Amino acid sequence: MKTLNRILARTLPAITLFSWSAMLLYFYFSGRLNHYLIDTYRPLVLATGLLLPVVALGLLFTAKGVVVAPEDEADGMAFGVRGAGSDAKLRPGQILAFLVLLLPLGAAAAVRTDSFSSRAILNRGLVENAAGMPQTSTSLTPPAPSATKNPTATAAAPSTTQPATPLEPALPTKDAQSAPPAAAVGADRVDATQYLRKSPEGLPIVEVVDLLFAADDQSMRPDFEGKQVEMIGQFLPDRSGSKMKFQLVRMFMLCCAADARPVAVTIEAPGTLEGMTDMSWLKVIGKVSFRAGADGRMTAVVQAERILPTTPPAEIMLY
Amino acid sequence: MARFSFDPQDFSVSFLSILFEGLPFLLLGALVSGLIEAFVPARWMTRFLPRSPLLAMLMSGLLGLIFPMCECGVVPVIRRLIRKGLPASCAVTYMLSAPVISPVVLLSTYAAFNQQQPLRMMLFRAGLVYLVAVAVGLIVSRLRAEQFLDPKVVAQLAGGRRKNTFQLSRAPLPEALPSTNPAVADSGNAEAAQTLGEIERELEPTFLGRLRLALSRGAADFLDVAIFVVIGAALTAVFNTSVPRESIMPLAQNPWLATGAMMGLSFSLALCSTSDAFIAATFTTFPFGAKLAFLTLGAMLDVKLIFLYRLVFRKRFIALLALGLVVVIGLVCVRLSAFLG
Repeated sequence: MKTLNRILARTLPAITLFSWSAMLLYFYFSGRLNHYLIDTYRPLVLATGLLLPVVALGLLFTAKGVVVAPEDEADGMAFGVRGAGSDAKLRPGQILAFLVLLLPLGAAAAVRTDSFSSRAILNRGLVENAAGMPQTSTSLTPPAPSATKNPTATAAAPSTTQPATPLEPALPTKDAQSAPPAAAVGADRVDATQYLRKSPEGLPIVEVVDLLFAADDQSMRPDFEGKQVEMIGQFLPDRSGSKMKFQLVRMFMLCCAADARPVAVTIEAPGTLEGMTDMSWLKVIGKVSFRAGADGRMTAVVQAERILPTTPPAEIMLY
Repeated sequence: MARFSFDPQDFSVSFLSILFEGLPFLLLGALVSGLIEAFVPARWMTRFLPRSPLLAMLMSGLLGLIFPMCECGVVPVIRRLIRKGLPASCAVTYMLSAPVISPVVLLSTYAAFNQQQPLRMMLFRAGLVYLVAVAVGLIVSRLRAEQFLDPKVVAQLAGGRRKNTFQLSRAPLPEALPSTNPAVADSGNAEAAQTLGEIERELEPTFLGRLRLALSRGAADFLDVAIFVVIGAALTAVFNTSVPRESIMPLAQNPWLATGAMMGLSFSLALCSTSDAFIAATFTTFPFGAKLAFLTLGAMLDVKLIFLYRLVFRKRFIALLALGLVVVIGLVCVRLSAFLG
């Protein structure tokens, strides 16, 4: 019993580090990490997952050789290498720390759903126009419309809150390269939808955030107005209780899911919505229109022609 | 809408994402802390400090520009720095300022407020954090170590009682030499710094030995800090998903309520300082001062940090620090709202 006690006292910290490493590597290689972090941070998680076993080995290897002063023994939480010498004993504090470090992480990882419920979405508040969006570029980086270059835009009242569109136009996608250049929008700019990916039916695949930014930019609205598009998102019942419309929601994150905000576009359904479950994934094909809301801001509405259940995309979160 | 609702699924997503985002930086901080312990001579840092406490504090507040650290990673680092003889007042100044006074955070603040006078927000954020951090450092420099440092940390500072960073020898400790630098003497670390320096020169452990020590100390620090990060992340995840944010929106019209609400939000959300500006910028109806309060307080104090600070400081000091930060930042930001909207 004493031997087991000593072995545990010496190896428990290293076991914790190995377990965390296994968890991080599992999330990284299974792709589940994609739902939690933007791509910039993911390699850091991989590096941490690879480094932790090295640190754990160092811990095991070093623990025997370093004699620790009593003052160090009392340092912070009693869980590190301190006291891991040959006469070390497993203390209640170590077991408690072990449980704190592993139980919540293990329990949270055991929850197989990697997305928020409709309750959390509502708690965070739906963002239905660009004013509520973080001032950053969209994931699809639509081309920069320029009010000064667009004669039709200057004729209308200038918007007081211009959306944060990238200064440089995005490169056309592979799908869009076959599209006719410079559609009939103006000689010096290109229809924004030309830059979007196309569905097998040839429809532009639009993200919710693209319509939010377009609604707020009068020079971009003609690019989408009346056009048939394909969208994907999660079903959220309309808060007014209407059975003929709903919100198509996506989460938009800046760094991690904890800071994600739900962005939504209103979808007018062609028929009844009975049978739809909250937060189920849908593919919507329909025509885009822009309407002035009660506060005078333009919002995008999609008149759906077809609504199909679909599987979640590889990236549940937009960023 | 329910005022408070808890769902394990939402908690899980939020909790894991906070951990996944923070762990790499935590490990980095812990490894840096281990390297400091093993490779940095005890008195080395104090040589670069000005003799005047004020100048030392002013310099410490800018260290984040050269050694950027996030709020999670900086705590184990300063704990080691204090034990290595850096005046605790300088360490506190660095701890409070580094999460904001860093190139990445300043640029992200500028980018986040892209169309809301970004330069103004960036400069005010950096300026307020810097002034508050220096002020706290100056106050701390007048305190005895026992008054604000955790007794366990103090025990390791007392020269003569602690054997050394490297416990490969049981050689008797030499007597401590008196310090001539007031900036060093202020926290009572001078004795320990002198003593440790002498011992380290005597022992001269091998490079491999130091590396092993760095790894083991880094691992120990990582585990120590991770416990508090897990607890803090769990509490943050509950706030993050269970409390409706719309409930604070009506407060935007009153500068006092708006500032208080935004400070409460930053405390409970415990966002990383590299991304918090993007969240603050979306509260467009809130006055400038309220958003500044969100960005300033959140980098210095939140649910997670309260737990982390316990590794270094006494509970009473943390409570007073929290109170001081809330009052000073709150008053300054409300006043600024009156002038700057």
